[in-house]
Amino acid sequence: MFNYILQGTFTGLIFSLVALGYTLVYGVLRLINFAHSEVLMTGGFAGYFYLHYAMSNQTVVQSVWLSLFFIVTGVIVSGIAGTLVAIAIERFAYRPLRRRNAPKLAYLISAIGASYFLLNLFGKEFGRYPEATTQPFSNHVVVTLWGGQFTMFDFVILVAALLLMVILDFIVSRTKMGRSIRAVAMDAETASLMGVNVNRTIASTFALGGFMGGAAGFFVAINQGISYDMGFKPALLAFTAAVLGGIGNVRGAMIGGVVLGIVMFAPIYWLQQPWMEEVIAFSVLVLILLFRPTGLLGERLGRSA
Amino acid sequence: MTEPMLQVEHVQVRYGSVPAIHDLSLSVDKGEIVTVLGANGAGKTTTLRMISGLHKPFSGRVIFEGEQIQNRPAHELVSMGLGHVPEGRRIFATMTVRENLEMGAFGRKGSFHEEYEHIFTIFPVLGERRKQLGGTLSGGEQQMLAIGRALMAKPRLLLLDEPSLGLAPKIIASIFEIIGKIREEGVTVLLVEQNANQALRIADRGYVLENGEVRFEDAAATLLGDDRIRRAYLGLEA
Amino acid sequence: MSSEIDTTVPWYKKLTGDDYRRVATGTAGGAVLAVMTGPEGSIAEPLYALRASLLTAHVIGYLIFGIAIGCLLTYRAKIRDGVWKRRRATPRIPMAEKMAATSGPARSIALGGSGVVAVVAALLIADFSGPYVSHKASLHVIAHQFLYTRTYGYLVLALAIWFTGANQVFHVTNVRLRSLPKWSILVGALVGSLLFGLTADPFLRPRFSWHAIEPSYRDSMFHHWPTYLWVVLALLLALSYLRKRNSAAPMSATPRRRALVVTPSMRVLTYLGAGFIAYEAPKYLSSYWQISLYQQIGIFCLLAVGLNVVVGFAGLLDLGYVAFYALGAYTTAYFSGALPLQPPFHLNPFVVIPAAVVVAMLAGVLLGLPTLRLRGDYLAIVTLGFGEIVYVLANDWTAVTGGSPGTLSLPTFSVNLLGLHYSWNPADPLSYYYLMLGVIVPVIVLFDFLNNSKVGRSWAAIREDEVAAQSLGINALKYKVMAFAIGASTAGVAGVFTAAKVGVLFPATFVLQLSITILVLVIFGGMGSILGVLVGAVFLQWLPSYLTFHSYLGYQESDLLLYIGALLVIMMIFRPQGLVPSKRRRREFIDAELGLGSADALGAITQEQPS
Repeated sequence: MFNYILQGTFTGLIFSLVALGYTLVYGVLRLINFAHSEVLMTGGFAGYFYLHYAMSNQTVVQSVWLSLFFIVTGVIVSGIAGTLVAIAIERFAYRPLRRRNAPKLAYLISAIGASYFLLNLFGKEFGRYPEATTQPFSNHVVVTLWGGQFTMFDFVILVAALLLMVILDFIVSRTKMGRSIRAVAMDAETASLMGVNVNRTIASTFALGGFMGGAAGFFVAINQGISYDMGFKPALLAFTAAVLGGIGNVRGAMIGGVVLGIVMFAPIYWLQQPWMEEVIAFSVLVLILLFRPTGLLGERLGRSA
Repeated sequence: MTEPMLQVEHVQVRYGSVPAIHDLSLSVDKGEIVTVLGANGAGKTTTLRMISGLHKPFSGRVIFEGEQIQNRPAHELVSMGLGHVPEGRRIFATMTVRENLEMGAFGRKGSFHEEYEHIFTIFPVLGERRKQLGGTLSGGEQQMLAIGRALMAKPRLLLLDEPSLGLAPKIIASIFEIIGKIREEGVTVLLVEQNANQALRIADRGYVLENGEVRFEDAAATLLGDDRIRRAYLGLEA
Repeated sequence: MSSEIDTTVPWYKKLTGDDYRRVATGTAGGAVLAVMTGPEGSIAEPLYALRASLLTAHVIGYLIFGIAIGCLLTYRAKIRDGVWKRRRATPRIPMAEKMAATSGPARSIALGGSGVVAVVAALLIADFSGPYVSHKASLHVIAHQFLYTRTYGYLVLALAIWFTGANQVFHVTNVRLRSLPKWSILVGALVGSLLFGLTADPFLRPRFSWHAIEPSYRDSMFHHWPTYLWVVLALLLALSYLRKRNSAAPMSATPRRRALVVTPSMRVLTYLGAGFIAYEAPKYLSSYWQISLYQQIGIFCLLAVGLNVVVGFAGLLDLGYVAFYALGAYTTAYFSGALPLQPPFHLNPFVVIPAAVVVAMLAGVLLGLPTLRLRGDYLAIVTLGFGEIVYVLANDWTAVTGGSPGTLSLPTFSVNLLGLHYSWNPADPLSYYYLMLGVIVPVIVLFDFLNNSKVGRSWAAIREDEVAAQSLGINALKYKVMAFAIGASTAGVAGVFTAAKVGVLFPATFVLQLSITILVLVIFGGMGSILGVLVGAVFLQWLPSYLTFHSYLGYQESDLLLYIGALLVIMMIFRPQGLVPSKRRRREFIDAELGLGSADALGAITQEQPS
């Protein structure tokens, strides 16, 4: 039992990272960014290529420090790739519509279009077959706890995700950029009267979410390999996590991811039917919407805590 | 004669194809308090929003300190010295008083301890509540916070949109008192008001708008004394 | 304004970062287009596709195109901001007169030079628009193009444009376009575009190249399509020119434009004509097109018309639409006993139709009720999840659905009633087509009726202003769920039709991609307009079939969604109301831009600040 909860927590942390992207964008635009899955995918591809070339076919990394170096730089590379794609999505699929004051339906459709475009562009450019990523560390079992085996990967994701989330939380609640994001989320027009460049703030919101999504893509790439449609499933689950925690609420997204991860391990634990996990996840989504539509922590747009 | 600080020349503003302001010209000299009066829907708020860059004019020019600003976005105008206290206060409800003030100084660099203290001397109430969330303040306190927030950017011209809206008479009086104080500190004020009586008492000059056009413009005292205007446009008794 | 332009600084020194960004964006756009149309790559050699496509002659064209667009945008922005002087500061006529007055070598050089430019441009266009020849840009490729009649078509077009232009400027002849009678312009456009279409059309290469003439006369109807398009385009251009000419003439006292009055008899005639074509035309198609007419076009028309009720009429976004389609198909399979889970009794697909409607509708209501009470955009994600669940169940719940290998040998439609025996034969696609026609026409009539009834007005009210609608006593939830369930049941019917024709079911059919594709059909044609949706569905389903069948232009079937994605974004930016929008929807989009009401049932968002 406990080992499943722990296992779920580790899986959930990846959802949390991706969910942050949804929640941040939702905060400022009141929109679900359907193209966020492609941010994750791009991050994964960037991580794949970075490790592929930087490690130049080393199969085993000798020193711990080298491993650490590859992980840190890999997260940064993937994060930057995710940032760039997120900004591009904002620039080409959202901003032209904002200028025209288009209805929400148009945004959703345009984002889906951008998502499909990117997805298939990558599929075309890099082929449509999955590929395993070079491992930057040896993924051996570190501890056995309550009958569950926890690998190196679990600990890497734990540390990295917590670190990234602490940094993000700091940025949103303490820095000037975070303040402008919160101000735009609450009242964009008044924020512009304070001298906040609303367009730039929206772009930086996408960028922040994009970095988190790209970094999550890096871990997905290490764990499951890459393929052009790798973003779809984690992103869908991450959205569920964001709603679970209360969309628009940064800390809610973090917690929502972990809770979802744990909930999703339930079918494996009780039913021994791994394919049920998605069914469970979406049933959870529908149930939340039914009974607590504002999520666990509540929707508090523009407020980090 | 020196150039006026703010000059609005033959501006037309449209919502879609519907004009909200037809052909509006007004000017504000440095150090003045100018008030814009008129009934609901006369185009007062639209005028302010147009000046501060929230709404682009369809035609015409706006000149602020010698520079054309009608095509500039709102956030650039703030650093040029144009502050705008929007209608309905619009403070950031889940930020503290202190954070709201910080937002006001968004375009500036450095630390603002002196400014905070200065704002807190103008509005002692805010100083007591600096850690409190903006949304928990009373209406009057929120209005003070909104004005204080705008002052944090060190504007040379302050646009005030209905600062008396929904406030008790006693608080309205103190708000107008503060507007006078702000002028004494060298900030020019363009004041949009429904409360014509109070506004004209404090202002140097006034414009009366009707259907998006200037109907009358004159010294505040003259407007206040003109029975015709009082009855027809200002809703005051003769 | 022009006095404010500083002319002491040369124009290129006035370029700013914005301008470089525009050109860079254009270039990047060109590169993306190049990759889009280029060869397939692979992860093992990540830059292969990019390199290969950039080195191809026809793709360099896209780059040039992108850069040109970037430069054009820069030019426009510079003129708008009043930084650059408009090149055509003086009116056009004096320049033309000046050139006309010029004689001798200057005139000859200008005339000849522009002619050469026209020829070279035609050759380049012929080359760039040609089929994907090889990875090398070379004279060889260009020379190769001469073997195709297409090249001559472009040459004729370029020379015609050149001559018209030269005649305007240099007065080569005394004939002026403006003085020509109307009929001659129309006839000229007709003949010219026919000639151009027949020779230059890239689609028509095999038909009119030297050695290959299409053998089958039955196919030729569709082969003429691009030519017809060119003809229509040319005639429209000519008409718009004539109208402009008319309105430019101040003398004309006649009303410029008379509104087309649709009399009831005209309407009946139109319907009869359309019915006749729909009945008669398919008989002359080859079996490839007959099959595609049912499986690609007919079923998708039904699906699109159903989704239109959700997206177009109610303004909701349903991304799991395919799930209902799958429900219909699997209901058919269940009652035929083809699934591992055995039914209590076996049913003929005809009888399954009501069952499928009920199942899909129930699913729609169950899903819609909790979700539609909330913000509309949640519906999108919940339906997305629902679609995924149905797919997972179909794929993995082996005990019930048979899992990923799919289900085989489903029965076809058959009638066995009152001594009448008829069984639809899967080898005869036309019989299915007529059956489909018999379903889709009543569905369209019904939906049109609904949209014009009280229900349709309630949908419109909810779309435009939900709060106001509710204050008028409209139960928004009820109508939204209703739209959602109607859409779902339509998809269920389409599912039955697919299952009964194809005879096999694979879970892989019912992926999210299909939902998106159907969404595109609705949006492309014009959401909310049944005619538009039909036009969109027919065109967008026909085009990939056509391109796949003929494998021109380097079109690869796997790239379909790439283009569809791009199309969605472009439609949303430039024409969100679709190609053939309904009047009401178009007005809603315009109103929404002005900040009056909304055009969907999803709520408000943060706007761009005016800049």
